[in-house]
Amino acid sequence: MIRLLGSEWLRFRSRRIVRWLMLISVVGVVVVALLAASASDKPTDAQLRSSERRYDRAVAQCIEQNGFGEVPEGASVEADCRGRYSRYEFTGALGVRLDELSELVLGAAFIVVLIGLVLGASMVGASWQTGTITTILTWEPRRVRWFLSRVVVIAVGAALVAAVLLAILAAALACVAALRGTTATSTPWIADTALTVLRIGAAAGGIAVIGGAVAMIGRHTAAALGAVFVYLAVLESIVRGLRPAMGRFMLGDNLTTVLTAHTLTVHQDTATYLLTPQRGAVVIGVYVLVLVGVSLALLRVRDVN
Amino acid sequence: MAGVIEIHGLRKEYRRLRGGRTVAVDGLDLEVPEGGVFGFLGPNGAGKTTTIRCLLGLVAPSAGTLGMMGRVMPAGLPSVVRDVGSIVETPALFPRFTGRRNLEILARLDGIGRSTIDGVLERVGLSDRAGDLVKTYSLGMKQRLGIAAALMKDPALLILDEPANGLDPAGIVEVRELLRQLGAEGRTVFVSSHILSEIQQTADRVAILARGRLITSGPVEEVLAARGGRGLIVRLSDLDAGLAALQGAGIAASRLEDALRVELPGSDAERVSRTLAARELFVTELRPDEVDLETVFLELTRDPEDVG
Repeated sequence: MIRLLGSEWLRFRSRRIVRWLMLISVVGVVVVALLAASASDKPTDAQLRSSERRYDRAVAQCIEQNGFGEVPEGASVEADCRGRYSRYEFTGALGVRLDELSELVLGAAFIVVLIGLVLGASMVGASWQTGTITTILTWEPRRVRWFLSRVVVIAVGAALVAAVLLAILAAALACVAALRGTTATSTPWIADTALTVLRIGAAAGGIAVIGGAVAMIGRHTAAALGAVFVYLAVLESIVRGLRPAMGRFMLGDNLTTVLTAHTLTVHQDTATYLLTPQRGAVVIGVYVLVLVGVSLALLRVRDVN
Repeated sequence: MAGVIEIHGLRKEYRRLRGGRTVAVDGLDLEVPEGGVFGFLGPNGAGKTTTIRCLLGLVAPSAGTLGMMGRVMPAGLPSVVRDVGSIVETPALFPRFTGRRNLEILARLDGIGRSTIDGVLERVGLSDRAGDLVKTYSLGMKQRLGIAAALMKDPALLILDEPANGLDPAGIVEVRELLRQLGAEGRTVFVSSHILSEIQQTADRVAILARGRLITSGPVEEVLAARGGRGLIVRLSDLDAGLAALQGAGIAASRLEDALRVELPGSDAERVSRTLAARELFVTELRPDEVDLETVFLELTRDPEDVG
C-alpha cells in the first residue's frame, strides 16, 4: 500500500495542472497583496485609541440589547457580542489589519475549494481520457486498493495545495498589515488564521475527493466538473425551493458552515434548524463516503476498454 | 494448468447501446506453452485485444475460464502480476510527463530502482529521449517506452499487443530482435500482431483467430505445412515436354502459367532434376513451393461469405 501511495503521490506532484494552478494562484496572491497595500493606510495612534473606545461602546450596546436577539442557543451573550467586533475595526482608516486576517483568508475559500475540485476531478478523469488506467491496472489489478490510494492522495494533495496557497496569502497580507495597515490586535490572530487555513484545506480535500469520485463515475474531467456545478447551482436550488427542510442536507449549505465556522440558523416556514460546522463536516463526510462507495462499486465491475 | 496461458471456452459479449449484443470472442480455447515466442494472429475485430484484456483482468469474460502461470484469472492476477509485463494496444502513458517519469511512477508500484529504469531505457534505445515529454514522442517511441515499462519487472511472461505498431522498418527489426532475445532468455512472449512476416520470423508457435474463434494453432512449420506447403516449382524451357516426362515417371505434376508444380516435398528435388535431365530437359529453376504465413492467414481468416 505504501508503494501504491508513493506512486500516486509522485503522479500528483508531477502533474502540470498542480504546478500551473499553484503558479497562477501565487501570482493572484501577489496582485491581491499589491492592491491591498495600495488601498491601505496606516492608522494613527489617535485613531487606534478612538477605535478601542468605540469597540467598548458597541459591545456594551450589544450586551444591553441581549445580542439583538441573534445569540445562538447556549452561547454567552457577552462572548458572542465581543466576537462580533474587532477592537480595531473602528479606526476609520482603510487598512489591512492583522486581527481580520482570518476573515481575509476566508475570502479566498471559494477559489481554493474550486482548485481542489479541479485537482480531484482531473486526477481521475485524465486517467480515463488518456487511457492510463489500463496501464495502471496491469500493474495493480486490485482496483479497490488502487482507487482508495488515489482517493487518499487526492484528499491530502488538494488539502496541502489549499493550505499552502492560503498560508502564502496570509503571509502576504500580514506583510501588508505590517507595512501599510495595523498590527494592533486584540485577538489570537495567528491561531484564528491557522485554524481557518486548516479548515478550508480540509474542505478542499473533501471536495477534491468528491470531484475525483464523480470523475470516476463519469470517466471524464469536464463531465465531472459540469455535474458538480450543475448539482450545486441548479439541483440544490430546486430542492431547496421545493422542499425547504431538505436544505440541511445540501452540500452547499453545509460547506458554507464548515468554511465560515459559523452556525447558520435557518428558518423554513414553520421549522427552524441550525447548521453547525460540526454537523456540516459530518454531512460532507457522508457525501464523500457515498460517492466514493458508488464509484468503487462501478470501478469493480466496469470493463476497461 | 500446464501452459503459461490457458484459455477454455472464453466468450465475451458487449451490449450495444441500441440493443443487441456483439460477440467479440466466441468460445476460444488456447494453450500457450512456457518459453519462446507465441504469435497471436487475427484480423481486426478477431478478438485478440479482448482476449488479452480478459487475461489481464481489464475486461470481465461473459463465459469461460482463463489461467495464467498456474492461477485462475482474474482472481489470481494479484499473485502473478509481478511476473507479467504487458502492453495493451498503443501503450497508454501520461503524455505530459517525461518518458523517465512515466517509468518512475510505474516502478514505484513494484519498488523497482533507478538502475533498472536506466537499463530498460537503454535496452529499447530511449536513453537519449528519456527526459522529453511523451507527447513529443512518435508512435514508435511510445511503443518502445511501453515495451520498456513491460520489461521493468523482468517478467517471466510478456503479453504484447501489436508491439510493432507504428514502428519504422528499423524499429520493426529492433523489436523482432528484442522479441527473439526475450524468448531465447526463457521468457514466454505472447505477442499479437498484424505484421505476419515478422511473426513468421520471430514466433515459435502461432494461433490464428477469426471472428472470435480459434482457427488453428501450433508450431509455425506445422501450421504452414498443413496448408499445402509441400511442393516444388520447376522452370524449364519446354513446359509441355517436362510435364509429360514427369507424369511418365509417375510424378504428380501440373502446369502453371510459366512453370510446373510438382507434388513432392523439397527433399525429392534431386529425383525431379534427374527425371528431367534423363530426357535432356534441363531446369532453369527448382525451388520449394513455399506458403508463407500471410497466405495461410488470409486463407484461414477469409469470411466464408466471400468465398465462391
